[in-house]
Parts: sequence; structure tokens; C-alpha cells
Amino acid sequence: MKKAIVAACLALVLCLPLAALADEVKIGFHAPLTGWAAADGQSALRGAQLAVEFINADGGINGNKVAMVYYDDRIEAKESVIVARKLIESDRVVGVVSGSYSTPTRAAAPIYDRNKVPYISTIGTHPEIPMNRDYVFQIAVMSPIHGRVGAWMAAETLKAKSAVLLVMDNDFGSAVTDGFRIMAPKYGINILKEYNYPLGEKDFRSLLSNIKNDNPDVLWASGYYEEAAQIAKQAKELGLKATIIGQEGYDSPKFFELAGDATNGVVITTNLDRGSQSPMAQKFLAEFFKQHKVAADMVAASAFDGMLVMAHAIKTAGTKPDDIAKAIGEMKNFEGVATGPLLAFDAQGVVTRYIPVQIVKDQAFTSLTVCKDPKLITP
Amino acid sequence: MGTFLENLVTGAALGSIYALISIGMTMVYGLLKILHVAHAGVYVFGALLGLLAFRLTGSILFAFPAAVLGCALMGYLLYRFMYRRVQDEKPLIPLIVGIGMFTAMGDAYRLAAGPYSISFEHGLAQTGIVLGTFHISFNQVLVIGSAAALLVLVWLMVNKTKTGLAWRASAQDREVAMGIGVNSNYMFGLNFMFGSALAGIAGVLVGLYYGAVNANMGEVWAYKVFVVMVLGGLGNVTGTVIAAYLLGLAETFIISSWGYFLPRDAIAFICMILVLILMPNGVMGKRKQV
Repeated sequence: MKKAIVAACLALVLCLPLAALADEVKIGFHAPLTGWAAADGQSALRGAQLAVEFINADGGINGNKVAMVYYDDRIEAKESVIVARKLIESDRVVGVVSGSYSTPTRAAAPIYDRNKVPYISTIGTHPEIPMNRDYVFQIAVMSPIHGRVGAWMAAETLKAKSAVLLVMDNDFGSAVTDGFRIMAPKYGINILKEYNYPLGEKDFRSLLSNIKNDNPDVLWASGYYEEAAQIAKQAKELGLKATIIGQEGYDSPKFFELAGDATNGVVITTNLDRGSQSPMAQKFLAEFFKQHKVAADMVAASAFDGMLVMAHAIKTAGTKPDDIAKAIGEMKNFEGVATGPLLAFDAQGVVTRYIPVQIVKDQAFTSLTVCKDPKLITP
Repeated sequence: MGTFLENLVTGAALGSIYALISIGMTMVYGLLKILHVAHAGVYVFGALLGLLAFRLTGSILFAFPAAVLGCALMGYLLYRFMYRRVQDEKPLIPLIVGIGMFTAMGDAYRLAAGPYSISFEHGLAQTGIVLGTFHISFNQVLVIGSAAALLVLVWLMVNKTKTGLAWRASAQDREVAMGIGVNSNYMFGLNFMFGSALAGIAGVLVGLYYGAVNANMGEVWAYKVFVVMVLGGLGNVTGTVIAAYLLGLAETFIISSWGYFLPRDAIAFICMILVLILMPNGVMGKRKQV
């Protein structure tokens, strides 16, 4: 009798997930919910959750609700590999969206590819993530494009003639700067000097004193919001006059929280245009602010878009991995995202998109210009 | 010239912070010969308490007393319930206790304050003194000024008071000091409270100086304080202060002249290795009489 009860319970437990599976589409998601990138990870999760809400309010995918299964990758490569195994083997998701940086995303990409699970990197910019992988896509802006657009904007919009580079010593910091270093001379900008700093540095005063002496028109500074906040604040304390040009790493409400007034006048290249006329962008910005009482950043928008792209592909092509991958690869001028339109995916699975440039006014990003030059924005 | 002066001020501000954090640990080592790793945890506690007081009252003036009282209490409790039980064991045991305490404190702060930097912005951060191209910010004046005042206080306390005399006597020879009526357990507790209060002030100053407080801001300090201590000659308060300022200036000028050819903390460790080779008793050390 006991055995029978145990068997019955076991059968019930085993059948429950199957029953749930029948009428929902499971999409996996991972982001750094703890660790040094936690502010971004939390924001990405909010973006992805909002996307799922929108999709389900809109009737789900062909009548089936979308269920998001998410895990914390702790911004560690080894953790994101464990997450990948969990999502593939025990959760059996249809596709996975990464709301994480390059390192965890790059470590997980080959696993998803080998197991034929479509995978979208939303903010991981490393070029190797989608390279030669049929099931891996990248809607993040490739790093050097930030540099190219930054140089174009410095010359065309800010009329700068000279620049100093302040480079964060990691993949992201040096890759974005490569684009600027190559493109700046072509736009007549003289690069006076280049300084490096390690990730996590807090005191930029000694370098900024030197930069003040170099007296450039613009300071190209690569970094994440913590570094960016210290750079902006200490530059203002020391009376640096150059306009600071940053990238999407600055694009976080934490940047304003940590640096306050010193952020005004900072210019960044990113993917979320706050002044966008696209209905989805406006709906996203309004709803995000309504739910969280904080302005959405590019990380939230990117994760939101990753979910929508995955859902759209499943909607048009069904749940077979090959069909989903084909549907994503063939998307053209996709407007149904917050950072859109997504113009096209190239052979490697990397998206081409317009690059909005934002300037900080009253501690908020506002539109400055948009780069649509194919020479600059094609990966 | 402007750049040189600015670097001098930047280096002095860093040195002030290093000195305030390191004094407490040096005093503990001087008296008990314990490497008090959890001291870095006390420093973070000060920063967080200061931030809390600032958020509640809206004034940085309340941040300092909150950090001083909270950290002094924490220092006393650490001594009374942790180190006192193991102070007569081999040095390795208090060290392990310290490491364990530090890890636990780090995780507790992360749970309480969250894993990211929290703004500690006061209204005066962007004001300062401008002389041509030479800028000194209010923050730098605040850090250097408070450190100078506190260092004078420490010096008076150690050299001019009866408690200071008892402290020096206990540091030189604990048993003899006890023999002539110094209550050593009382001295040890006081010592922990005093050093911890200084670390708490350092925490608030660092929070204000960078406009941010982070639960993991003590991680580098858990080992970097050793460098300052060794540079200053283990347990020597004056030497520690001099070493702290030298290190702050060395870091600033090396980075200004050659950039980060080495990470900031590597500079500290190279200084330590050089000092160990060239002047093994620290910057204030005298050759031992043979």
C-alpha cells in the first residue's frame, strides 16, 4: 500500500510539469542578478519580464502563454555554463535570451549551439559569441561601432578637433576604443594621448590632471557606469573642460545616482533612443517607468528586445530549433522592438541597426543625433 | 606646475585615507601581536552606518558620530567575544578568526545593503578652491583636514595621556606592564575601540570622497593594510602614518607619470618588497643592535 502511495505521488509530481508544458512556451533567460554587474542584471530581468507581460497580454504565441525561466549567472563564465545545462536539460526551453555581459555569454554560446537551442545575446558584444554558430545571434551593438559612431559624432556634431582616449583595460573597453582610434583621424580629429586604467579603478584624479594639461576638445572614455560616474565627477571637480564621450556602458540610472550633476553634458552612443518615435519604444519607456519608478536603461531595453525577437521568431516559424534560427536570421526591418528597427542579420547572426547618440540634460539621457551611415553601423 | 600640485593633493588625500584605516590595525598588532583582518570589515561598517545616518538626517555632520560610536562598539564586541578568547593562542588562530569574521561581515553587508554601489553624495562635492588651472575640491580639503586633526589627536593620546603611557608600556612588555598594575584586558578593549572608531571615520570619508559606498569596498583593504603596516615597521604608529602618506603619493605620481603599467595595488606590494629588502624594519626602523 505504502509503495502504491509513493508511486502515485511520484507519478503526480512527474506529470505536473508535463501538464504545464502543454500550453506554454518556455523561453530561458540569464543575467547577473548578483555580483558586480547586479544593477545591470536586475534591470535586464525587468526588461525581459516586461516583454513576457506584453507578449502574453497580446495573446501569447499562437494562443500559448510564454513562460520565462530565468537564472542568475553571477557574471561568471562557469556559472553561465551550469545555467545553460539546466535550461537545456531540465527546463527544456525552446530558446534562450542572454541579458548578460560578454564573458558569461561567450562561455555559454557553444553549449546552446551544440544542443541546437536558439540563443540571443542582447548586451554581450564580443564578436566571437555568434561566430560560426548557426543557433547563436547577437542584437547587441558590436563594440567597434560605438567608437566609429563616437568619432563621427565628435567631428560632425561637436566639431571637435582633438581628443584624448581614456581606455578601460578589458575586452569591452579596448574594443570600443579601437573603432574610435581608427575613425577619428579620418574625420580630422587629432588624438593627443591615450591612457589606460584597470577595471574597478576608483581614483582617476591623477590621470585627469594630466588630461587637463593635454587640453583636448573631447575625452573619449570607455567604461561601465561605476567608472564612468567617477570619471565624470572627478573631471568636474578638477575643472576639465573637454566633453566626455561614453558608450552604452554608461547607460544606467546608477550613473546619475552616483555622479549627480556632474553627468550633465556627457554624450554617449547606445541603442535606446529616448526620443524615439517608434510606438513600441514609447510603450516600453512609459510602462517600464510606471512599474519601477525609474527610467529604463539600454540593458532593460536590450533584454526586452531579445525576448520579443525570440517570441516573434517562434510565432512565425513554430518551435523547431532550425526553423526558429532561420526565422531570426531572415528578419528584416523588424519594428516591434524598443531599440528598433533591427535592419537585418548578417551571415554571422549579428544585427545591423541605427545608432542613437544621447546627451545628458538634467540628469537624464535625451536625443542628440542618430547615425544611419552604413559605413559606420555595419558590423 | 598645476598638475604637480594637483597630484600632491590627490596623493595626500589617498595617504590620509590609508593612514586612518591602518592605524587601528597597527595599534592592535603593536599591543596583541594579532593580525586583525576583520578591521577592514569595521571600516566598511563605518561607511554604511555613516550613509545610513546621512540618509536619515540629511546631514553629513551626523554621519561621523554614528560611524564613530557604531564602530567603537563593534570593535569592542569583536575583541570581547572573538579575539579575547584566542589572544593567548598561536598567532595563526586569531588570524583565522579574523578572516572568518571578515568574510561573514562582507556577506552580511551585501545582504543588508545590496551588491552595488550606493550614492553618498553631499551638496558640497563639486565646490572647491580654484587658482588658475589648479583645483582643490571640497572633498580633498575635508579628507586631508580631518585626517590631520585626527592624527594630532592620536599623537596626543599616545604620547601625552596616562592611557597612552599604559598603552605603550603594554606594547613594550605586556607582562611587566601587568605587573605594575596596568589592566591589560581593559587596555586591549580600549585599543580596539579607538582603532575601530578611526576606521569608521575613514569609511565615511572614503564614502564622501568617491560619493559612493559599496558592501565590498573593504576587500582590497583586508590585505592592503598589511603593506602599510609592513612599510611602517609592524606595530609602529608613526611609521605607519608616514608609510601611508608615502604610499598614497607614490601611487599617484607613478600613475601620473607612467600610467597603469602596473595595477595600483601592485605598486603597493612592490614598495613593500623593496622596503623588506632594503630596510627590513620599515621606513622608521632602526638597525637592531647586535
